Amino acid sequence: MSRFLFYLILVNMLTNMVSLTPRILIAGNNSGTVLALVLALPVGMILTYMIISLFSRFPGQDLPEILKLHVPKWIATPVLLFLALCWYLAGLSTLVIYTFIIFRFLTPEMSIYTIVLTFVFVVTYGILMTTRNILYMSEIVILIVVPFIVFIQIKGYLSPSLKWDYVRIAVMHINHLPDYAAFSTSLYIVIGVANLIIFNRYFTKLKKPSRKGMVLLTVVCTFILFTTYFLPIGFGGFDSLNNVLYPWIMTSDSIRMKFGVIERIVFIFIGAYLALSVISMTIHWHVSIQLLSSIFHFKRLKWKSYNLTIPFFIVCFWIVAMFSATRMTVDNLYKSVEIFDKYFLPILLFLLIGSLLLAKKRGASNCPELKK
Amino acid sequence: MSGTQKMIKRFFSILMLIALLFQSGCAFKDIDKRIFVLGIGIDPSETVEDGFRVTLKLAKPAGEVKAEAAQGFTHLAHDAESIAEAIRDMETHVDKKLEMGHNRSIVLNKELLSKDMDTFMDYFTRRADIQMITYVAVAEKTAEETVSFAPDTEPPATIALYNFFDNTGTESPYVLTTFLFEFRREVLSKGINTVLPIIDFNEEQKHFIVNKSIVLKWGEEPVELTQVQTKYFNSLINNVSNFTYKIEEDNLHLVLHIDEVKMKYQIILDEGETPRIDMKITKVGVISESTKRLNNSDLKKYDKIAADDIKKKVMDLLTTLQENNVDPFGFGLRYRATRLSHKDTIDEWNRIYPEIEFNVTMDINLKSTGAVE
Repeated sequence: MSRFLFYLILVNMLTNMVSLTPRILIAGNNSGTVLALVLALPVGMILTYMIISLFSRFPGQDLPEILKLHVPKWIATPVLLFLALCWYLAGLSTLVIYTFIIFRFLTPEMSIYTIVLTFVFVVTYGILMTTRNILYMSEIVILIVVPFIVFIQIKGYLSPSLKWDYVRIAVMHINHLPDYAAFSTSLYIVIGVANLIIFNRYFTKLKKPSRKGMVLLTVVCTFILFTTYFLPIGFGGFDSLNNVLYPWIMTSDSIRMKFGVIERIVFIFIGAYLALSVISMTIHWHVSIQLLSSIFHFKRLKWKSYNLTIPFFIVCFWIVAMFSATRMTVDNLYKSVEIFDKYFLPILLFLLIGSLLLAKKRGASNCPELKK
Repeated sequence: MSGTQKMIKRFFSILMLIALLFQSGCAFKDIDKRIFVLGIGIDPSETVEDGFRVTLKLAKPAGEVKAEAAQGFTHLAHDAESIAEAIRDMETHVDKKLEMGHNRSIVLNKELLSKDMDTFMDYFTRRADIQMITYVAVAEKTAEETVSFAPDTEPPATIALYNFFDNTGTESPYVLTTFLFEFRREVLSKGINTVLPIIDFNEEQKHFIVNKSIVLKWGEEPVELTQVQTKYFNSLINNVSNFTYKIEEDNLHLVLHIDEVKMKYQIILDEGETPRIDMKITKVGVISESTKRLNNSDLKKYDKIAADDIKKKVMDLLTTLQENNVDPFGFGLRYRATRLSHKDTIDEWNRIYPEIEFNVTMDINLKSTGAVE
């Protein structure tokens, strides 16, 4: 498996550790989160395998191209439009939650507009890059940031203040039926490979995932998913975390670096995750804008010789982002992310895999000579 | 890539570089416009009904630490109905912004512990800038006196209250450390009670005394642990080293120095038997003082003597806690953690705990007689 595929999955997983995901998981801690986690892992891995092997049939082609070749337009357009909306919302939720986190923990005196603008500028620069460069950028950021994150997690696991009894209480709630919200949220974490719908452009020699790659991926996913849920419980308690808005920020604030340069680890932690969130937003919005520009092409919207379709969408992105970051409350955001995970995600996966299967079937019947 | 695209990218990169100019550091408020809070004390108010008296220990701004002769601290106190109101009022008493981000100690008055703790602790966990690794402690006298007390051993720019609890300065089994996040999780969890250290001070000799602790009970009178009980509790739960122990036998006086403590326990519920907790404690150490010449081959004998005696002390601690119906060890948590969850787990435990028996196995392992025989 190409290492860039890993980065796509890893960025999605790590960014969601700090966002609303742990809160949704913890909200179900008295019902069925543990079983949901256990179920989401194999389902996520099977879906990942399916998506990679389906895309490996169309090397170097993104989803719009594949659909254009093999699927009638009246199916392709709504599917792509829906996917574009999903990817935009995914990036938007990351943007809003990280804006809130910065505003609450790092710079409480800064105007929220400034924070959103800073994000939006950097991300806009990112999404205008070519697909390949975004992958290179994510590699650089991951190489710089992941050691810090691993260090903080190890520090957390080795801390004497981590009380394993709380974690064990959480595990003992395995006798409840799985919680759907927790299941879909954990599925969302592990399904970062869906970004291939545009990023497959880069993978011209994508092969079916090897056994070694899948095993490694499963191990990494299991570790991160379980850390996301269990480490905050070990530090924050089992009964006492339900009303915490950012469980992971609280957890990292509870980890102490006795002889570190700074004792309070939370700033390193937020810094590392900020870098990752920018990458995650860039990836999501890049996918979204590429999908949109594959559907719409305004021929009239021109300035000199340059077509303004993409800048037009970017401005739309900005306006919506600014509006939602300033108007939304944490509770609104929580509810919308929950709705996204619960209803949009399964539809998204269904449409994605369905349209790929259709394209594969059509592709096979359209050119039977290739089959031989 | 077309020329226009290149131009747009260039435009964006210049725009971002210009944005750097707006970064003025310190989130727009310079350090000389801030005053750092180093400790917060909370007492019940005498003037406001159901209110609190909040004391803030502040660091006096100084040009150079080396030039300072005495401690550069001052304190502010104010009465109000809630913590947030008191602190908001105090913001009008100083010309600078009260910066809570560096605060590392919260000292509570003993009388407050039997009250509803949500009314005054909520502020600290709700505010984002207060560290979750702040130390929480209880004052033997009043919180105001404790916070504003300046011991003689406190040179400029160090804070004695931090050094006590952060395990980089003094390390003693008598000093218990409770962080704010531990306080929060244990107060709100079922099956464990929080323990807080008690800070006392000696007015004449100008020093702090931290060697006792107190176990909180939600809405009830807290249970105070003696000095010896604190030592045993702390060494078992936090594996604190530097644990000394004195044995007297015939005319032989031995002082043991324990470096390593391990504690394991299991809750055993067998049909037809009274429920019991099997606790296995292993202590490893050396002899640090003796009135006689010792023989290294007799170490086993001293092991045995010490084990019998320490076991009695541990049993005393466990039964005292049980009689008062408090559970700072978190046996209740362990009970919940070893059973599949159902609604009545904690009620079951509350029935079992007053009757449970303790079965302590003590294993002392002396490594040598020290540097001499």
